[in-house]
Amino acid sequence: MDNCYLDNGAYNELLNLMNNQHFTDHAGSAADMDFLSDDWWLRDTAVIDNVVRRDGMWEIHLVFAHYKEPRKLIKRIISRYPSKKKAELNAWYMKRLAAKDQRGTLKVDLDDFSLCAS
Amino acid sequence: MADLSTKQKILNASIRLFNENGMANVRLQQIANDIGISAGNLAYHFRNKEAIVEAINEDLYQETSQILSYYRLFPNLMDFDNQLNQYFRFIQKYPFYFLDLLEIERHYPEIRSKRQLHIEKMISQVRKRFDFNRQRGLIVEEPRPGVYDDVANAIWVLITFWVPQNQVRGTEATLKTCEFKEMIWNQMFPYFTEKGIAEFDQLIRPLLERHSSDN
Repeated sequence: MDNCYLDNGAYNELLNLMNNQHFTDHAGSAADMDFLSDDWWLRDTAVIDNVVRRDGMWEIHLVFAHYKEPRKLIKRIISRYPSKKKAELNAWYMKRLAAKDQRGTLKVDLDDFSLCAS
Repeated sequence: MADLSTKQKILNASIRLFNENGMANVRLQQIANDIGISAGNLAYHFRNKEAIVEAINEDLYQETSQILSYYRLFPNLMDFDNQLNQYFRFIQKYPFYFLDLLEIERHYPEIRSKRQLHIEKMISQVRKRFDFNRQRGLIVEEPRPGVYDDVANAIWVLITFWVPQNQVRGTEATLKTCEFKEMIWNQMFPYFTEKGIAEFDQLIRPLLERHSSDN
């Protein structure tokens, strides 16, 4: 440390930066943290994994569906693999990882979607 | 562990004797007598006075570095006041560092060179405080170019020569935090805007009055 020496020019610049920080940094607003409460519904979602072939690769899609209102859902493409078997294996791991409910008690049935057969 | 303890005792006694008698007037035998060990035992830990001075110098350097780190911890005038408290504690702990300034300059190049490293930084910090508070609207625009540089230098002089000037004037008994800080704040006060005076009255004046009653 003894050999580290900041010359006066650099030190003055450092002090300027510290001073400027006061005028450029602002406290965030409460709305900045809204994403936390906006995402709370994800705690009550069942995770459905799906492996889809696209452009010669197998994509892992995870669907997060609310267990009481299954039509409230989001779909995320997680990753892609050239091998279906590898994609399925990883999809299972991803599903386990993503599920907030590790015991798997939150489930969504196909019937819950009230799909029309015709 | 016993070695460390004896070493620390030697350093503490040395600082106390340097403060009381001046660096040049303290002999190794005095230090040894002060803590009740033989001169040989002392020489086992520190081969000579220069070695003791070197060890103290390391503490001095660390402590002054620490004081310099007290910059922009508070977003208001409290920041400087807080740093002034640290300077005053340092002055009280090591008066010999200021009283024997010329002795150190001449005979202890190690202390001198480390002190030099901090002088410009001390002055720069005070100068940048003017810029910072001017941007906050607490201090007026510089009346003439260079005025704030001079005030920053004057404040450094006050801090550095606070102890010697008190000794020369025979006013050691009045070494009070409030007087020290007030004299320094008074260098800045004429340049305060109304907003600056209001913040000073709200944050700093009560502290100065409290120190005054404590002393």
